[in-house]
Amino acid sequence: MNLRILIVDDHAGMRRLTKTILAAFGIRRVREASTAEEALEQIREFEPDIAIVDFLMPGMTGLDFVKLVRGGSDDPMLPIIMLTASSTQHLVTAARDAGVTEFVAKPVSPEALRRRINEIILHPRNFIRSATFFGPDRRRKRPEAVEEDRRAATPEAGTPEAGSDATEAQERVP
Amino acid sequence: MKRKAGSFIRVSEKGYTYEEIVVADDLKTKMERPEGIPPDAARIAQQAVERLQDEFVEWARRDIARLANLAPELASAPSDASLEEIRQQARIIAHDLRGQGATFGYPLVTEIATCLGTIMRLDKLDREMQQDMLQTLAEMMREVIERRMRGDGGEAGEKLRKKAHRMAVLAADPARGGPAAGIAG
Repeated sequence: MNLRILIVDDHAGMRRLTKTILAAFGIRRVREASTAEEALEQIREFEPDIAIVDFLMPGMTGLDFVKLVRGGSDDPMLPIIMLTASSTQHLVTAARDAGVTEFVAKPVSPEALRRRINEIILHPRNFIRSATFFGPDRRRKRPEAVEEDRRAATPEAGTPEAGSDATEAQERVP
Repeated sequence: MKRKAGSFIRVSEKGYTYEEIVVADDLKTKMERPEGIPPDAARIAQQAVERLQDEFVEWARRDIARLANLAPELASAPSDASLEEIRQQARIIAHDLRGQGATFGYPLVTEIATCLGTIMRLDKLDREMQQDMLQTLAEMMREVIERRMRGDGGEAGEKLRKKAHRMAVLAADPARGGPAAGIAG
């Protein structure tokens, strides 16, 4: 399996736990970073397919890290799974605003992580760029519509389709 | 842009224009399994996690010792800024213990660490009371680990759980009694 995953967590124990779960999933191309700064470096060098990031780290928090990735890293559309021990509405909103792709609540269960990774692999979210937001599309489209988009997508931005998804406008779009 | 397969310009219900970027669908190929990670893999992973329990005990011991060391520093912090820094360190360690405890079969550690995290967020709480609570909760987690109180920990676990929750309530509202009135039991 060629999937590459980057684990970003200041706690060596949590990194070991996540790595163990990923190894059991058959994912062995895994790198670790103990700080957000180190993780940004790894994004350049290792080019991960998914990053699994802890919410609370000393120095730069997981949310700050996500904002940096979305705002100016080498891979702004990198799928990011955030691990969090707290899932208050305030945090969830802040994380979505920052551009988190998926959440896994702590305590981390292998099943929850499996589901979130599968979600990213099997149903990749499109990205939204507006005046105030850049991040994954939180709406869930019909699978046929997603497939249609993929077939119709061209490498050039700018195909005008005004109103095509007006009824599905997501909260994050102003 | 990396991962971009194409894009559309759309207009939202409210009339705002935005770009929808279609993400390249290439991870399935890298995964080499069209159905993704099979459910069975989670069961195997759970067994692997259980084998890490002894390591968790070692990590938890280290984290709990760090917490206990922070207690006297909390009392003697020379400024508000350093006090907040110590609280933040305690919150991060509590957060780690909270996240790991239940994963490794110690939900009591998770519960006590949750209470500690709550108490360490109370910046108006009397410093000595906060120090006492930090020390006491660290000691309670140590007891859970050293006595290998897995699961709910039975009667002894229930006592610890109630005590931790009582401390969190008292910390939020010290007028209800403070440590001397309620924590001892």
